[in-house]
Amino acid sequence: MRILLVEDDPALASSLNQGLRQMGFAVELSQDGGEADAILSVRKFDAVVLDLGLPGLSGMEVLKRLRKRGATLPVLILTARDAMADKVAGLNAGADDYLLKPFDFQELEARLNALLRRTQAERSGWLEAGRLRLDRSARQAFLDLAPLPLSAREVGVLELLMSRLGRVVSKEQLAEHLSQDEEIGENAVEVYVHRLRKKLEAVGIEIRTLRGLGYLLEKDLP
Amino acid sequence: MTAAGGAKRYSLRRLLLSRLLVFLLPLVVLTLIGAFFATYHYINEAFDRSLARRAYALADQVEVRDGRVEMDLPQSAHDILEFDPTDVLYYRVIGPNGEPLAGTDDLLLPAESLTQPTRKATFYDSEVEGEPVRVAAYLLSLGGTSANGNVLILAGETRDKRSRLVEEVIAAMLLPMLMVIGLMAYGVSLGVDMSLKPIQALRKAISERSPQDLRPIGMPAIPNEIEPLLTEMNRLMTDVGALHDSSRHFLADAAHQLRTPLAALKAQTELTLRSARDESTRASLKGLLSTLDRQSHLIGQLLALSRAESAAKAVEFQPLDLVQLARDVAADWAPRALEQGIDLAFDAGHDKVWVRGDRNSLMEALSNLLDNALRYCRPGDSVTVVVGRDEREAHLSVADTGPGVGENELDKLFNRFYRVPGTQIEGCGLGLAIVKQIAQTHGGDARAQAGRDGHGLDVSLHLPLTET
Repeated sequence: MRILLVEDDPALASSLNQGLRQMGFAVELSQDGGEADAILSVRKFDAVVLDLGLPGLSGMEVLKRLRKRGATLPVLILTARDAMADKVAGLNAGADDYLLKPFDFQELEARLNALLRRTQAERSGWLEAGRLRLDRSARQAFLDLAPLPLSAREVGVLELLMSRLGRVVSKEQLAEHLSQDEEIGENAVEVYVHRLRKKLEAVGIEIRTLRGLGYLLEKDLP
Repeated sequence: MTAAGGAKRYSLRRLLLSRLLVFLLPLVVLTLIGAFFATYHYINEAFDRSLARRAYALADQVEVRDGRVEMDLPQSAHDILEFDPTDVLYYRVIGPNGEPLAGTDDLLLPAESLTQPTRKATFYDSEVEGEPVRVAAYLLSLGGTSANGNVLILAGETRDKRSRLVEEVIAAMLLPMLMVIGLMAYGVSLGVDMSLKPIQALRKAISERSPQDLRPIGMPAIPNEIEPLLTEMNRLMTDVGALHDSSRHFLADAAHQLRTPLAALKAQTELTLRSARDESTRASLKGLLSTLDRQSHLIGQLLALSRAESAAKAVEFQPLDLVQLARDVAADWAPRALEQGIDLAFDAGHDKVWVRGDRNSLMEALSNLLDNALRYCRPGDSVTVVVGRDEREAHLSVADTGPGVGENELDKLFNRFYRVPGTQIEGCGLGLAIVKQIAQTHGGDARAQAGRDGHGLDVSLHLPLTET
């Protein structure tokens, strides 16, 4: 996995470089926004770890130019600004995730892996979570290699939960996701979730319910 | 009422109007008085001429017969001389030797006796039985040699007709005069209003400005008198804008300058920890990491607090649905709650609850409440986010079943750097101060109370409702 690391602080850049290499990534380091933009416009990477406060071109501008060129590679933003407004602006500009400085290496590794997995899954048409695998085009779920007997609607629910692993999915979002041929109400969603939950419980996987918020499939599934 | 700063208030319009009218009104009154006297004078003169004609008619009746002066006045002439529909008429004729020839001696003689015969009558004011009377006196020369050969003829009349005519003329003049005064006052006030219009337009332009819009105010047309005022105001707005920008930049820069070195320190410590084999080295590196975490949390909270304060007036509020906002924030925090084994729930009493506010600040406030609740709760506890409203205000609360705080600590929770005595949980004591600051910026308040059944803590944000 090739990663472009854009960070201007020499001490942080050097530790990050070392840490990411230890994680098994091939790292290229750039300490200037303009330079990073130039590199990104000619070379291919699997992901970018991008600091926002950069000399030359700001991180936000590098990100905007990257997306303008149509590049879809995942971008993880490192920011020292924790104002809600800055986070929202970063995500709106096309970032896939952000980490607030200072951060844990573990957290960085987990987020980066999640981003890379998601991108690969999107390209391959497969979703993965622990022992669960979902073939999106064939509409078929597997536990390890064994096919799971799920209805089309149950596959739809599982698809959305797996694509937002570790995040809350509301009933409203599920209803919208399922309503492709016909309108599905939130009561019907509850029924499908209930059935799917029973089938997954049988194989030791739990769908969590958060009252008033929705459902969630945990990140670290067995 | 006093204006901002306690200055005495006055109306420019009223001032202009009063100055103009103080000058114009006496002018009008003087004109009226002049008109009255002119009218009075000409009416008097006209009636005096007819009075004189009566005196001449009497004179025609005086004859000298056999050296004696006689007056032959037939009854019909007498009737005519004394008849008038309104006024009472008098006459008196006195011979050369002072003997009465005709008429009544009620009519008093002139104050200065006439000695030289005149071609025309003279006039004076007198009284008969307390009534004012106007008299024409005419000294008729009989053409004799005797110095006393003159006959004095007096013709008088009461003044009813004259007074009535003067009154009528004045009455006829008064209405048009009053109309002229009215029109004039209206014209003046219209003119004043027109001249003050640019001030109104400027006021409107300023009041319609949002607090974030600090561009100079432009006016299509502006009088020379107001232009310097506008220039100064625009200069002030530019300065305030620059100040605001620099404080925002300072906060962003400070965040960057403080956090990046911390991040480097932390990354290096973690790298060292990975390769460290010696247990005591590992323990001290872990201690260092937890100090770094506390430090970065404190920096974050300090920046959030100063951001909440500096945004107090500069933020442009928008109508937003508190239910949606709270649901989104709660969903963001759900993974951490699950990780800690805490049951996080969301409960909205209404589909939508509209308030006016700044989305990011309110999200930050709720994040602080949730962070607090999750910090102090233990596995198995529950945290509930509740959004609702009553007739007056919207409320957003986070209630937990955690350890709670004592009754007398509740109010102090919002004080900066306040920590409940004996607490073992890490924190810097700024979270709730930030929440309170944000609530107050939105014209609301934050309160803390014991949770349901006296267990846990319930912190709520109360905000004014808006109609949408």
